[in-house]
Amino acid sequence: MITSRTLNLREIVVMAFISAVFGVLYLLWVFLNQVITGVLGPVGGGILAGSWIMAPIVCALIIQKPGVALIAELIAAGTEVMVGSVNAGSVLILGFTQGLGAEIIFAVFRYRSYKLPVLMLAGMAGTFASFLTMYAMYGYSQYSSVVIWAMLGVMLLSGIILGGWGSHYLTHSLVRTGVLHNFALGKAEYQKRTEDSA
Amino acid sequence: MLDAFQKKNCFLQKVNPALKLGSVLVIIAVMIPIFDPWTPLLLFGVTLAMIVGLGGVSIRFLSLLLLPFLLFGFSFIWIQVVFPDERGETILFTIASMPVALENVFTGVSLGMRALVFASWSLLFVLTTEPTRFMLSLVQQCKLPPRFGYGMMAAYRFLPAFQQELQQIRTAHRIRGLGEKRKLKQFKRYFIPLMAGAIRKAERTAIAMESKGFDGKRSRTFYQRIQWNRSDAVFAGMFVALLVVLFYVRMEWFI
Amino acid sequence: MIDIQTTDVSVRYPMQNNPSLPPVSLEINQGEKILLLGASGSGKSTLALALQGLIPRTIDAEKTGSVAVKGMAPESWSITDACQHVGILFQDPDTQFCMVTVEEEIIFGLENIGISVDEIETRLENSLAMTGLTKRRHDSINNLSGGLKQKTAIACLLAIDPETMVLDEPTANLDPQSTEDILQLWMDIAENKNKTLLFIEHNIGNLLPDIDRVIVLSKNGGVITEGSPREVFRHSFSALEEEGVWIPTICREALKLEAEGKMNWSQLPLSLEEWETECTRIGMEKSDIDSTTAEKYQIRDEKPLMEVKNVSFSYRDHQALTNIQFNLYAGEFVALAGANGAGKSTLAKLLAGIHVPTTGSIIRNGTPSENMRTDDIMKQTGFVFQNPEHQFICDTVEDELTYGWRIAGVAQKEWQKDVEDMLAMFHLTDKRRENPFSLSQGQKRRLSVATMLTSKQDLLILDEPTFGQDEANTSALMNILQNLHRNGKTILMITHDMELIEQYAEKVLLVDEGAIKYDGAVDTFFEKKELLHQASVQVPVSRELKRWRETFLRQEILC
Ligand SMILES: Nc1ncnc2c1ncn2[C@@H]1O[C@H](COP(=O)(O)OP(=O)(O)OP(=O)(O)O)[C@@H](O)[C@H]1O
Ligand SMILES: Nc1ncnc2c1ncn2[C@@H]1O[C@H](COP(=O)(O)OP(=O)(O)OP(=O)(O)O)[C@@H](O)[C@H]1O
Ligand SMILES: [Mg+2]
Ligand SMILES: [Mg+2]
Repeated sequence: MITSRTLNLREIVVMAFISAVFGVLYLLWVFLNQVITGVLGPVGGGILAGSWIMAPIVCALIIQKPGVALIAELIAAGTEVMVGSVNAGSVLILGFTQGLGAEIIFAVFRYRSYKLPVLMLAGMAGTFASFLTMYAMYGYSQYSSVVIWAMLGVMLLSGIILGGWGSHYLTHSLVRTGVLHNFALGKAEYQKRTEDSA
Repeated sequence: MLDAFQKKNCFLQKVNPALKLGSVLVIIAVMIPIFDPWTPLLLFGVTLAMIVGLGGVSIRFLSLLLLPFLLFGFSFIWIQVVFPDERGETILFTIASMPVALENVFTGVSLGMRALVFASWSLLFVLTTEPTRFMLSLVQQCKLPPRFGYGMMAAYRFLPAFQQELQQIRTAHRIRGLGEKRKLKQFKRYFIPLMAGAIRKAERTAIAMESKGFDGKRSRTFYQRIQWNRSDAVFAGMFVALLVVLFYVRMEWFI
Repeated sequence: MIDIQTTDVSVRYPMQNNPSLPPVSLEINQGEKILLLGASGSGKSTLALALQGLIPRTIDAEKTGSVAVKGMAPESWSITDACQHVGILFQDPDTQFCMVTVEEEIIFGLENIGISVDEIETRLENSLAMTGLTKRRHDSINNLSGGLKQKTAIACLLAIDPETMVLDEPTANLDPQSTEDILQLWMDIAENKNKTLLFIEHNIGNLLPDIDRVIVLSKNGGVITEGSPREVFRHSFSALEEEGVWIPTICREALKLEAEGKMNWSQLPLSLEEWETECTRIGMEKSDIDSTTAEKYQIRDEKPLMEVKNVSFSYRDHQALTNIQFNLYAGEFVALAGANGAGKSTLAKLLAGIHVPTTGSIIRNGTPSENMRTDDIMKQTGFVFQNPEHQFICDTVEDELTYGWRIAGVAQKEWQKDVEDMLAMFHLTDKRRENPFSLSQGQKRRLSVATMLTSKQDLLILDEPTFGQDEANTSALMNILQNLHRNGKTILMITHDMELIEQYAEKVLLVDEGAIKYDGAVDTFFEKKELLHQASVQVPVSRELKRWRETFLRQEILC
């Protein structure tokens, strides 16, 4: 089989399934998020911001093709709308900007490097994009700059830790199960291992 | 639960999903420069009336969905009061030597209501749109490549399965003699098998789809066509009218 | 005309050292009905994928040798053409759907091949009618029972109407009556439309005479033997036995009589009818005395292990069980039978504490389960899910198998040998480092059962533990169960295989439409023709044969 740079059906369905699994986890998350936000305000809500960007980063890491991060985030948003999210509108917009944020980083590295620092950067870019979007959508301009900077800081940190490191950690645990043999990451890891043992 | 409303034969259910989705995005855009509390309040009221009146959704169910959102909305108020960009002049009272200004309360309410408006318009869409129709409309009207549409559909079909699966894996752990352990370590224990299973299933589903002749091209028959109809014109008309009224009301009374 | 021709076709999945399908050469003619036999894991499902060109078109696996269908290479077809040339019914009923309802799923396939809406309408109606799903057309596939899902998959295939159909275990999970109906349906279709059918099945029951040719794959590659069913089972009996593939009970028995010199078959019977015709022809009659020494089933007067009292259970909008009442005694081997969708799996899950009764109560060892912690119930009950994948929680086969011991803190040296035995017994030794999800369907089933055999629970519930297994593995598994049973374990087994009930079970529980219709000894169970018919269950062939055997014995005495 020729491994082209465009996405094939198998990869799309896998992306959709991964996003859907995250979607299920998000359903629990959203509840947690609303409670945290309600009590701690938007700054507290930022703590979990990095988790929203895990699905696209995990997908990008697994499939390693152009557009994956953006598309995965859009599919995740679309699936969430299908389940009947109360946030359908914002989810779609956020999905687009977040995905774009992460995608740009992968593009800068010409879709060649998926090492931990790159993932962290992508996580950061994603949450930064979502910060900008929320800034406009939810009128953050009306808050004092202390709050805004604190929120930005918390979100970026969350993007780096949850979005970057978290995705890296989970995906590499997944490689060990062998289910990724048919994807770029699984193949690369397998090659590395055979070379190591040789 | 949702599908009971989604399948109802009411006006909103007949409107093209693409159009409804568009309206949600327009509403979000329109609300961005608005910081007075009245416009979002008015809009929120109208939206609820539409969902109940034109979508046949029960008020009870609707409030049940919006209730947790109130807390979220409320956070905007207190943050605004405590950390405003500019503290207002009409001091209402002070809590622990912190002045509470009317202007800030108003801005807080405005932002909180804005979040509620976004939520209610989302609900207007979500509660009156069947997922299959949504997907078909994305493919037919928004020119989404079918492989994305049907790929999403396949994943959507598996959502209840994933939820069951989470339960199932938990059961499997319990049956195999491992009780509930600490949460974080447990998370990986659940997550990895869930994900591994999902990826295998996804691959097999994709293979099955192709074996049924799905090539992801546009040249397929559509048994169900999502067509533009009278409801769409009426809805579009209503929507524009709503925006115009909102604009005038704002002009006349609030500015 | 030759329909399918393969020359030394072999497939290796990525990162595997050995081919999953060792080189095989086959020739199948247009309109033939073929039964493809082979041990579990011999690459049958993989071959099916290669025949439609899915390997290598979609699946990243290395194919060598050549395949030609109607003289063309399957991988050269476009996706839409391929599905009209060769249709595959997949082995796993869960992952072959992508839409929500039955109707949408059938329509999906029809839309793909681009036929007109009117034509879609007709084909939809027809295929629904043929599979008896008309009433279920708007049901969500997720909520169907295993058997109904299988029928949905069949309806999809019938709607697309490919020229050649590969049916990968089309009747696994189906109840005996549905199995026969579905197989008959396929035979009729093949007859009327001159389709080529390739059955991949472990047990094809009474329809063997309709099969034109049997092809037996070897684990080590190539074809062991092929020919008409009569030739294959008569002349290659021992080779088949050695390979561990399925041999119809009727042939086995017939050959045994012949070996004993009691009968000389002019043609080896392949079905009960053929057996009877031949016997009648030479003037023998089935002994009508009930020779089965009618062991009366002894109700044990011990305290029951489990008392089920007036239990009902509903899924959200569907009442699955009503007023279930029975006792389970320690040390019993109970079979739970019933039609598809009758509520067997649901009942099993109630017993294992996975579901909680809507009304009524289950009493375990004298304690009502309401008063017990769910964890404790589950720790006392071993459970094998109908879907093997629900069982897996580890990364490799070996980890999965040893999990129970490791959790219980047993030292490695104590179980090391047991693991090796277990792996060997279930033919999983060379799969020990693989991920459970990458196994073949039969291998998964065995692993999921094996994981529960290492535990110490005194009640073991198995939901269709033998489906998709070849003969060798089925008997290995049943022997283990029997040993556990002898050592005092209580076993409740859901199965559609009446032979197993006849051979191993002491007691039968029959579930029909959510209610218990029979609770008692196996012998009397199979006498209740009316009840059996109503519950889509059939009398096992071996039971009929036993009577014939009786005749032959008496014959001998008379002579
Ligand atoms: N995607 C895959 N990756 C790696 N190995 C695989 C994969 N699919 C199947 N195998 C292996 O290939 C071999 C053949 O599998 P296949 O499913 O074709 O067997 P089968 O004859 O259909 O068996 P069964 O009767 O149990 O269904 C098995 O040993 C299986 O473990
Ligand atoms: N999760 C569910 N939600 C709703 N209905 C369900 C669910 N699971 C099963 N059912 C329904 O309950 C009934 C009993 O299902 P169950 O799985 O117990 O049948 P079964 O006897 O095990 O059948 P089979 O032999 O096909 O496995 C069926 O009509 C099925 O459609
Ligand atoms: Mg198979
Ligand atoms: Mg069942």
